Amino acid sequence: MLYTQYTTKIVALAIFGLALLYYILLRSPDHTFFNMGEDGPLFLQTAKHLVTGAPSPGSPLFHITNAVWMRMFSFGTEYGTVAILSAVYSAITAGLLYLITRNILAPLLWISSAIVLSQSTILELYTLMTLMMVLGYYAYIKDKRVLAYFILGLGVAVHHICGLGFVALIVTDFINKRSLKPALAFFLVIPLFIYIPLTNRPPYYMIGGNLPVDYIKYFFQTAAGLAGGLPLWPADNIYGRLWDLVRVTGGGLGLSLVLVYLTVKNNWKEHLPTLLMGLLPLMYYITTSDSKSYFTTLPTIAFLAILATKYDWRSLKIVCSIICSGLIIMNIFLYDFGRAIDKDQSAVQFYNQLEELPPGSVLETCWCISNSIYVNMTYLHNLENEDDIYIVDTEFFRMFGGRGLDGKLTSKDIWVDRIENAEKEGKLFRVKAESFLEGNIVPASSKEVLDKYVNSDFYKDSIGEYNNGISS
Amino acid sequence: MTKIISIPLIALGAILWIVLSYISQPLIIGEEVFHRWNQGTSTSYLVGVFTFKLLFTLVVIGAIGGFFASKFKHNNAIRTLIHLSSTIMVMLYIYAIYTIYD
Repeated sequence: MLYTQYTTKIVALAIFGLALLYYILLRSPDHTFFNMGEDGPLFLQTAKHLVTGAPSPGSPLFHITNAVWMRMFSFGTEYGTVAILSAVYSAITAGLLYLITRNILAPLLWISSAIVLSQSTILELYTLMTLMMVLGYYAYIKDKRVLAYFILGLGVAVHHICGLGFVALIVTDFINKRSLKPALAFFLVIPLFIYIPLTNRPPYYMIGGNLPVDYIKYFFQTAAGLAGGLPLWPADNIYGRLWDLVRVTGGGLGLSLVLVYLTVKNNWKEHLPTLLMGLLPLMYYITTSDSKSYFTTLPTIAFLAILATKYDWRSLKIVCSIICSGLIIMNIFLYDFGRAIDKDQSAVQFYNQLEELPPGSVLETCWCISNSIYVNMTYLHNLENEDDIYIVDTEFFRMFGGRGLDGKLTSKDIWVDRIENAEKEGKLFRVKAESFLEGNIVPASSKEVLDKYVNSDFYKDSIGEYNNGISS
Repeated sequence: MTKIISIPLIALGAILWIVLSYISQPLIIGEEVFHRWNQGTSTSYLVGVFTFKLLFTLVVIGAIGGFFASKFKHNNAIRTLIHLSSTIMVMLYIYAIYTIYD
């Protein structure tokens, strides 16, 4: 018995080590436009300067952990130092999946998934989010329910998806007629959110000020189908999203879905918490704002991988394990930063171009998906260099009033003047991008910028009303 | 007999798995979504999504609220809260559908 427990822990540790090595070898050494890591520059700001992060919902635990880590260790670039934590969290999750299932298939499914790999090699919070869910689940199946709810509460201090784990456990407890009092431990995390008002200070990039109304806007203002980071409607069509769904689940879990189906068919009630923790994030993705949010399905991979090991079909498990090993090799050729993807380090080039702009420049970022990475990088540049490059961007114009360092540029007139003066002084630029994976800064004319934003119907319909509300 | 049928099916499934994983790359690295960003969203999809979210929220409110209502003495007050929150959800739903068709 002792030998078995000892062996299990050694194997889990070996899986952690190998997974970590795999992620570190493939990781992005510096800023990148790839793998939808649009929040990377923002997370570097929060880690380095302890400013407020994105409203989903504030992620205090993630930011504090990054800040502490960054002050203790150094691995190449600042970005690379913090990004390595994604690899560590993902590798711990792999080891934990083995501890839970005592079957090599679960960690193999996790490690071989390209979606998991994509988020383990960049600066993002989704591997920590999944780790918190798996840890909470682990405590729950060990019958430490207070701890389980508490961990999921901590998970919400990383990302609100962990709240779906809370729903999964509370529904399970409800159906099994167990006391719901342990669920109160979920709310013990609330004091951690004091991080948000503590770090909210000028120039108020994320929150427009320090009044209660500013916090309400931060959490609930609707932009691009989001309210406080929660998606309200999808900017896509059903066929595209279903195709995404097939690729996310089929490409990530493949044949093991047969095992999942058989497990659930055998005894769904026994596996209800696992099933809900896997399926709720998937439902979230299907109804979410855009198809790039595939990273919200990381818990789906983890929990359905656990379910796949529960059905006794040894030969299929062996086949799945072999395919997973093949996929790991294939992923090395598809996702290796610097060799397979992001050879030119386009995001680093973009950041270097920012450093060449004259102080007080106005930069129009293209109206395209994930342009927030341009905005986040510019804000990072401003913080690092005490510079003030003003962003003109439809989405951020509406959400944050297109503020520079003074935090006051919310009036249309101020913007028109600033854009026109910038052109006269040769300080007006725009981002030219043929795809999301690049971003070149080129000179712009005030007419094209004003026509695109201030004089556009979009501005009149939404931004105009917003600014009128502020000025009144 | 089962083995004879399952072996080709498993082989097919294995090939599909690898192919799907391979063709997911443009979605995952972000190349694909850039071009899909400006696509319109179909009305029926939006209505479907909102309906799903409404039903899901009502089920969660009903399950949690119903449990508490059965446990505490002041269950009428809790029931009123459930009805109130459910009504708000339905009103939000109607408003959302209105904005879609407006």
